[in-house]
Amino acid sequence: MIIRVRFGKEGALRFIGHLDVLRTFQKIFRRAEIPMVYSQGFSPHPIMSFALPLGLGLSSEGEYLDAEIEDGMTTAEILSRLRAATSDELPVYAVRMLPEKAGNAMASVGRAAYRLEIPAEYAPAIAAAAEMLLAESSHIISKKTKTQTVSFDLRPCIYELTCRSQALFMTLAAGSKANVKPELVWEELSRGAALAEGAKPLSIRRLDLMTEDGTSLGDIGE
Amino acid sequence: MRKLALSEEILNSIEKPARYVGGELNTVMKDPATVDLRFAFCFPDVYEIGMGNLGLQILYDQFNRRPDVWCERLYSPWPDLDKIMREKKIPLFALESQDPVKDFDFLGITLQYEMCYSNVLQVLDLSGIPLYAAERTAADPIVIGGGPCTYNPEPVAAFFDLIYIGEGEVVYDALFDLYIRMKKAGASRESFLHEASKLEGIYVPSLYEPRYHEDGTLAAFEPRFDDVPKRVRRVIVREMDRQPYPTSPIVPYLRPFQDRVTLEIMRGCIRGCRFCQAGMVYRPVRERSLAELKEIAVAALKASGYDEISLSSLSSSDYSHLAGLVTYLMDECEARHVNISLPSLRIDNFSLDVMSRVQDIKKSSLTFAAEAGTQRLRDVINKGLTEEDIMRGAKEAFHGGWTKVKFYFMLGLPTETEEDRKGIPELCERVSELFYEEIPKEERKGKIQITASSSFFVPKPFTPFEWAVMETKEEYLARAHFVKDTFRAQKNNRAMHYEYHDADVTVLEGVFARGDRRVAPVIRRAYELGCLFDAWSEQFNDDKWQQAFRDCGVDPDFYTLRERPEEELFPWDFIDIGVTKRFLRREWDRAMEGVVTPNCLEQCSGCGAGSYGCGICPTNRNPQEQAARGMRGAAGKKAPPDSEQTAAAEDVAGEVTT
Repeated sequence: MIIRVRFGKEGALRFIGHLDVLRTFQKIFRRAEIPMVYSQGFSPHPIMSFALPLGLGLSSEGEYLDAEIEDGMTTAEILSRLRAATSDELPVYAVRMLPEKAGNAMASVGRAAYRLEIPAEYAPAIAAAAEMLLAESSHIISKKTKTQTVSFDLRPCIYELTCRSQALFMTLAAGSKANVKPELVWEELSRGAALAEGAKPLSIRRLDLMTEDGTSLGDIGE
Repeated sequence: MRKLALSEEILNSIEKPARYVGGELNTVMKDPATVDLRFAFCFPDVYEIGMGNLGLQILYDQFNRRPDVWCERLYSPWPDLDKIMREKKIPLFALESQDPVKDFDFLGITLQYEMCYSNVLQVLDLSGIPLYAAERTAADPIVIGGGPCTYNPEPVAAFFDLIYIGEGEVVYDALFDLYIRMKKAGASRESFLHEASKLEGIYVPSLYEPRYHEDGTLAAFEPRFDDVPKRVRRVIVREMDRQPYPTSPIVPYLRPFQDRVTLEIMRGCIRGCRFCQAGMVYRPVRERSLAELKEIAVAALKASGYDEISLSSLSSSDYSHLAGLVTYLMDECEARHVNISLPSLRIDNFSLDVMSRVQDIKKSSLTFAAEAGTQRLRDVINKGLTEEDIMRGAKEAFHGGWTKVKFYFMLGLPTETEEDRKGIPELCERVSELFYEEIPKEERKGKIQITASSSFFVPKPFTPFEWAVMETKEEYLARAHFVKDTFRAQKNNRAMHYEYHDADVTVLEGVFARGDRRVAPVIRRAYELGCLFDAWSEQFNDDKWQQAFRDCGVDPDFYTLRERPEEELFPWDFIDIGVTKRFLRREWDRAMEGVVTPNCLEQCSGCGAGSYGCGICPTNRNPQEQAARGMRGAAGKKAPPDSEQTAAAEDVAGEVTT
């Protein structure tokens, strides 16, 4: 059966890269003695995939991985075993069994929600800049890639953008079709709010990953 | 959540921030208010290298079993972070608590190889601890060194308050008890160090005074007080099975060089290769029982989640229950999807069969540590591997489907001639010809590939070659070039690849290996000049080291090119490792005659390690261990010839009285 695990990244784990977290989860499954299904070939590896890599330095409470495991364990048992085998800084929140036809986590991702903690003195200007950006019908920006500069419209990639006291919430397009990082939106807002060059949020936290229609990846399956 | 010592900004700007944040699986967190002693354990190289060290894992586990002690870890900051820490004056910290090292009671530094010495100074410097022990005060941690390099601690002795001689499991408990008791009683640093010197295995450099002859050689090395022992006796674990094993090893997030469970199956080696320090300083051979190893292996795999397990020892083929252990592991590991790695196995039918089952033959290569190119020289170094063994092993391997063969050699061994150097490519040539003779064209699965690599021999203390003269850098390179040219002249040279190690590093290692206290200022000067991470070839800067020698007026040739007379007092002679200098000299003489010495199982040669009365030595009176030894056949059954027996008895008696 295929299970979806919702987990978080805190503290030191924020600085552990995507591939290292994947290897760590393979170890956690073995520590938990949850029988994984392995690929064929001379060096078989567990069948496991992540929804969307998280940038180094960001914390999260909405990460997902899909894993194929042998039948025979309830999701409740899997959850309690994973919790016992992981560390505080890599918390496991929920386990669901995916229906047969559900797409894998990586293919399902359409949106990502973030919370940015910002210094109090920036809040009013950022709130105003956010309102202005939302009022626009399109917001063309150019993004530099390794080889060229590409222009694209940021506005349709923003599903939510609100500033409440010192927290800036944003839900952005994510995944294979369009992928906008929270740092990019922050830069636009900080320019709109005329903040000093290099002004940074205090922290960025991913809250959840959703499908294109806004369903949390954690709400699929049972 | 834990507070991190480095800011977000710094962590986001450096290479691999995961090296500095801690929080790995199975790390131990304690409340500092509830412990009496905080120990910072440092491996002075980069995180990914240090994490794989078994010794660190063993002691981390052992120390943290004590409720009154909290042991944490640290590694050398890579040059990118080093620079930032200096600029911003950030003190070096331990990974678990992220607290400054300076606030700890102890800073323990493991000395695994000589080329980490500049890193030792970096760790002290970044911690804000004076480099020389003599300059430290009550505000500084006690700096203690341990590990293989302590068998001649003198070049770095001035940087340490204490040096631990022997296996870490033995005396730390007593040392900690002493420290806690004296700290609570308000005793001074000096009086603690003085008392510590009375513990077996603990060397306090500041309490000893060397005197030198006019020619620069050591005249005497004596304690400065009557109640300080004249010699420091190496401490060893007597029974491996009684020693707890770290079955919950720390599992790093960042991929380390040793990404697996390490299963130490035994300590010591029966072989007695004359160049090998490990083969002498870890005597006698002591095994863990099969039953215990099975239990440890399963527990460690379960607690770590690793997908690979590796056997660790100096010569795994000599473990008495190897077949039983490997069979058990293969069954266990298959069920768990875990790979087995079997280094240091002799190539024979058994090992080939095992290896063909645990690894991909097409990808893996077979390794022969031939060390020398001719049988004559292999006899000189007492390497119990004959050309016949190599040919038989290679033949079986070729029939088993292997096509890749690796050879390790050393250049610059005592008595080496051009004939011996020529022997290296010629041996490889014979092995490649064997492949074509043995395997018919239609059955060949790919071409034969031979990789030969050579390092330059560095004479080490407490080996029969501790008297050996080294060569100049130019001579080493000339020899390597000669070997390379000879490889080119072989018929099958296209199937052979030859590489050799750096000669600059060899000469420096030679100075550190047999150096004395006058080398310490050179290390300090080189560090001031910017030397760091010398074990990394892209970081190593020989010009700076040469300048440091000149600046300090120290002649490196004194330590490497000088002929040492038989009776010379060596800087490390105050250490008693069990094996006697008399035995080592006897082995040197036999080497010069080209006479081999039987291994410990075939016959006891009376090396002196019997004074410990444990392991495979005939002096061991433990009935259980004797029984285990009896299963191996040879040991103890063959009575040594009279002369040897007398020598053995003498050596043992000699040890008891010192």
